Amino acid sequence: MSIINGRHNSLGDINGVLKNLNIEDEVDLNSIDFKHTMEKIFADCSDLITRIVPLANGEEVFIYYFVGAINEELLESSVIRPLTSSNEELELEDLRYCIYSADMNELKTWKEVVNAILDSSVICHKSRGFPIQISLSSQQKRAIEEPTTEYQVYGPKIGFIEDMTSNLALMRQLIKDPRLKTKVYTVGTITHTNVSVMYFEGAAEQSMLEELERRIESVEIDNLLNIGQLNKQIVNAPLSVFPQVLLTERPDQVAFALTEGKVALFLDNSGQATIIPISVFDFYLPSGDRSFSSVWTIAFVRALRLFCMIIATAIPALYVALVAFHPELIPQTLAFAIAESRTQIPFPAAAEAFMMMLALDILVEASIRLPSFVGQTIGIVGGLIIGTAAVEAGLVSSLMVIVIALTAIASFVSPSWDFVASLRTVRYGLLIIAATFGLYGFALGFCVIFIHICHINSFSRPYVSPAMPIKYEEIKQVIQTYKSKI
Amino acid sequence: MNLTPVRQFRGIEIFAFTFCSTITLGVAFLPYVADEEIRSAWLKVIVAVFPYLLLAFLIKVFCSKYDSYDLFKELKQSMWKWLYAVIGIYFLASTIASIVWGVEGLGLMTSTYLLRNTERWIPMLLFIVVSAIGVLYGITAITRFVVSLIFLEAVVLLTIIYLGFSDYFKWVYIPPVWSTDVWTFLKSSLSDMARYAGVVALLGFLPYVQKGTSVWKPISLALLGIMVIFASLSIVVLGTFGFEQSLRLLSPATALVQSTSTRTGVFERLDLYFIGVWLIAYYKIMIIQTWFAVFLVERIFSIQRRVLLVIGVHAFIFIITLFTESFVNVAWVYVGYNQLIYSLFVPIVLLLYLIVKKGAHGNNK
Amino acid sequence: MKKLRIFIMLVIVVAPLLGCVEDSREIDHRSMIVGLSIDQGEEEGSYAVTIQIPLLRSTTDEGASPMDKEFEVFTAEGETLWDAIGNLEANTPTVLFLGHLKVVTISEAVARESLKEVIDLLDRTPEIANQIYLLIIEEGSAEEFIALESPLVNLPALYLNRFFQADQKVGRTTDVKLFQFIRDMNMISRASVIPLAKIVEGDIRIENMAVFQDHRLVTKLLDDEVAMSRLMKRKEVGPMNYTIDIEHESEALKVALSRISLKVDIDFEKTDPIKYHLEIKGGGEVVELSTAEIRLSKELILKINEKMNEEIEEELRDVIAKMQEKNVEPWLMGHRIWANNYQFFDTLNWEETGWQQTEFEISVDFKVEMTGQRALLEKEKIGR
Repeated sequence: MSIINGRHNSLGDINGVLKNLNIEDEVDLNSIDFKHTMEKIFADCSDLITRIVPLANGEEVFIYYFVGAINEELLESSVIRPLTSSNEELELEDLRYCIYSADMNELKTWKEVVNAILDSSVICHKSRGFPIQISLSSQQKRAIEEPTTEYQVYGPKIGFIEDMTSNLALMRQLIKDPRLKTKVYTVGTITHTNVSVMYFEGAAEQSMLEELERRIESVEIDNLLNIGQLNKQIVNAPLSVFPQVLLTERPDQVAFALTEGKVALFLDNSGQATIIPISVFDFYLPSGDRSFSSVWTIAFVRALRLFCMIIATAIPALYVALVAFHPELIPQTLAFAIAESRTQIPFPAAAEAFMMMLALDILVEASIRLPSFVGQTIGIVGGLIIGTAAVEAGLVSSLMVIVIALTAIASFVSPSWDFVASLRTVRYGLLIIAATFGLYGFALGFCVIFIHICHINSFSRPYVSPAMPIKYEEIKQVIQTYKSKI
Repeated sequence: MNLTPVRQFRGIEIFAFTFCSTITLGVAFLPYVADEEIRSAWLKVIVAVFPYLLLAFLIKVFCSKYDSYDLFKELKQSMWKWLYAVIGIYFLASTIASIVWGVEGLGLMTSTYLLRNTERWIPMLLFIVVSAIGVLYGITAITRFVVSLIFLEAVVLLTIIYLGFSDYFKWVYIPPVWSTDVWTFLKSSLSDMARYAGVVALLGFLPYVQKGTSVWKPISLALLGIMVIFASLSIVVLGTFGFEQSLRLLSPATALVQSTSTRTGVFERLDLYFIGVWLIAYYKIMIIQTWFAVFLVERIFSIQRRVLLVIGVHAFIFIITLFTESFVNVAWVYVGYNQLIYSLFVPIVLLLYLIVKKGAHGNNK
Repeated sequence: MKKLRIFIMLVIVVAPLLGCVEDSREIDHRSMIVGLSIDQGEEEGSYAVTIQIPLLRSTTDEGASPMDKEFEVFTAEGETLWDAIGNLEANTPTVLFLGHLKVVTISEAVARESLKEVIDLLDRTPEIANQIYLLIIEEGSAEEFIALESPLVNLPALYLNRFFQADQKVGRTTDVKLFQFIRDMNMISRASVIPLAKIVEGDIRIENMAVFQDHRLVTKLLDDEVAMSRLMKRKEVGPMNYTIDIEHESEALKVALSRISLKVDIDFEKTDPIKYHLEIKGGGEVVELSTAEIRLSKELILKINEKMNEEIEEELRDVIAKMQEKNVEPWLMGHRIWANNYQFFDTLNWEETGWQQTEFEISVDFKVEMTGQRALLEKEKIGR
């Protein structure tokens, strides 16, 4: 695990921080002491605001919050104005009587105080009383938009955003049933990120939920900022090249998965949800397929995708194996054409394929990082100009360009970018083995990949399910031959 | 691996396991591998399946008497230790011998058709390494692999049927020719029984089968399926090439694909693709048998160091393969006969012994 | 566990680096032999092997004009075929690659001596698939034949390959693959056929078949005999063409029939010598009458049928007589008895006299089935 975690636990948690500063567990009841301790803990935090509000009885109330994290208007109207305008002794003795807020807590320990203020709350403190936490959070979030990584022809145009509560609310909109459950865990000693597990009671397996809970609780990580970090910690085989969870931005995809008995993980500040357990076929079954009205269209589209998966991984390797090892397998006239196109090429086919695949991946990486208008330019420059120029300059053969282009196009047929990236890695592996052993290596390479896929489980679910162990009902679902009950 | 197996498999897995444990070598080298061959080899293939059906039946009876389905465990409990060890070691040695035999066959195919100039040990090493990865993943992965790729065997079967009805096929080469007496025929069939020898790996697989699963149906169906494929392949090869030429072909199935595939237009020659598919199918038999070998070592010596074992067994196989003479050698005939003894006679005797013993005990109770 | 896995990965990565890419040879670094011809060498018992290699031109090469020669031929001699091929390697910059060889042409002289060595080499080389076609070159050397350019297809070898793959050309000749030749040679009568080709006025012409016994050319099947031979061997033949002369309404008339297909039922009596009953059934289409004046009446059709019956029987008897005269039987007739009635076969002394003495009783039932676009019915015009 340590490989993935990097420096896990090296920064320690809040308890350690407080201990280092020699701060007692109990909060100070004296407001001046309290203020000093706060300043000690949050030294050099310029965004921590401390406001002092004088009361009618001469005392002072200290209000602490992080700027921007809370709704200041609300603070003004529901906390400060009531405090300054109140005259009654009783109200002033216990602040909770005069503040207009439904969500208030008394905090007894420093740890609670620190956690509360970091969780976008306002802390009010007056001597002789415990500090009070008031939730007035106004977190930064963007509007709900169309998912940008999973375009679909039909299907709803909403995607998750970085705010977990909004995401959960979206799910509630889609599944209106009390059996839709959510459990929240906090992970990350520094970041204190909320992880929410959503499942459909009765559909999800109890044993799997327990196992998931155990794994989430045993995650040891300082900074959980990205859902991928969590995924790597909870899957069965983190060293595998294949993704064992499905990342999605689409609420409808999650809703379908939940009703099928899968479990969704949401993470604060993450625009994707994770679906587990999954099998390799799930990467090829986006929810949008169900919008088609014909069963045959769905079956065709899905078969096409699976076929493309094979093309995307195998074609360059196969091409090299055929051209370099077994030209007798290529139809005669095509063999002449290939040989002719290769006469001026100084590199062996394997090197050619390597160069082109590398160029392709560089292009892909470059165009991801760039804004879309530049990205398009890169695509055109890379694909058309460099490709043509490379052929004319005699660096690669024209057939190789076709092969690599086909590979690239086929690989992006997969709806999951995560999976595309895996296929890309596998492609290089296959190419290496095919370039050294020809068709023999290719067949054995296939064996290695396939038995590896057979080996992986995503939780209790085999990665090759439902093909093995065979589940006819699920296979039927894949082709979607539902009968109407009329 | 834990020595108490997780019982997870069902009928379909037994079927696939039986089917894949033995079929591929036969597909490549049918119909004639032994020294004495008669014209109507397809008859022998059919005859040879019956003793194995008997074995399947005994396994069924055994499973109905012993809940564990575990031959080796039961043997250990009801036998002198040294005898158990001797039997176990005999099984192990025979299994490894037949694996080596298979790897030699693979090496021959590879160096004839695929990698002609490369030294033979290199592709073999690669194959053994790949096999080691598979066996390391354990029986669950192996079984999944075997079941989900069972369609490869279906591809082989369909290819055979498709090619069988090509222009070149002639029935005149097929009719049974009785130029020998019954005794010679049976003797010659003995060598064909060795084709089914891989089935013995079932003894290691059964402990992983769910309790109460019927074993007779899948095993016998798989055996009959193998028989049908073997017989139809023999018939097609004979009908296309005639006896004298088939006898001389290294791999009749390959030659068959070679000679009949040109009219499709898309592929120039299907034979090497066929060998590719065959390789994957062959990989199955290899992982099944080496897994069985590892299983035996674990059982006999009660060793738990799985990774070391897997690598050790593979290294051992590789070293033996390096030092054995190639496939053409005569000594392999004896390995063939031994295969017969260890895959058929010894298990039958052991099963009978356990069944009779339990029967007697059962009556006493 | 993890360390071991890494070790395994290392082995996989390092093993290729040990240099086992000897089999990797780029397609443009192989001299793709598309045609191979075998002649007798100048020395007694030696062979001259000629190979045809296509010239590879870069696609960007502007200078090439379409009239340029597309291939080159090289010849070398050697005591064995493999020696000759080895000598050829000295003539080419890259390794010789036989994987794309489709047709092997053999000169008649070699065929008359013995084909044994040739067949053995071809059969043993795994690169050469069993699917290659064999062709015997009449009159002249195979080398000349393979060097001939055809205006229709730029590579002669491709020409031959396409010729044989076009299935419908039966009648004049049929393709024979290597394994078929070997298979038939293994049968009881040890006889097989290979198509013949020759150069006529600078053009390739592929017709007729050579009949082999014990790897030696013994006789040839000419024109329609090929179809009859095919009928005897495969028990059916078609589609073939045939033209007959008949007299109708006291006028000589040529009738051309096409798409004829025939089937034969072969039966025999266990007598000594053996007596075969051949019952032939078939049909065809009238495609051409020498005069358009004459209407195709039922009467005429019957006449055509009758004539065809006669002609087919005659052709068949001719070809059987020819084979019996040479005592060669390439039709598996003996093998059928051998396989099904071995004891009877034993009494026949097939190889020495059995075949030559065999008697045939032939009945033909031919029917014109179609008459092209023109209706057959005897319609009468009524009125103006």
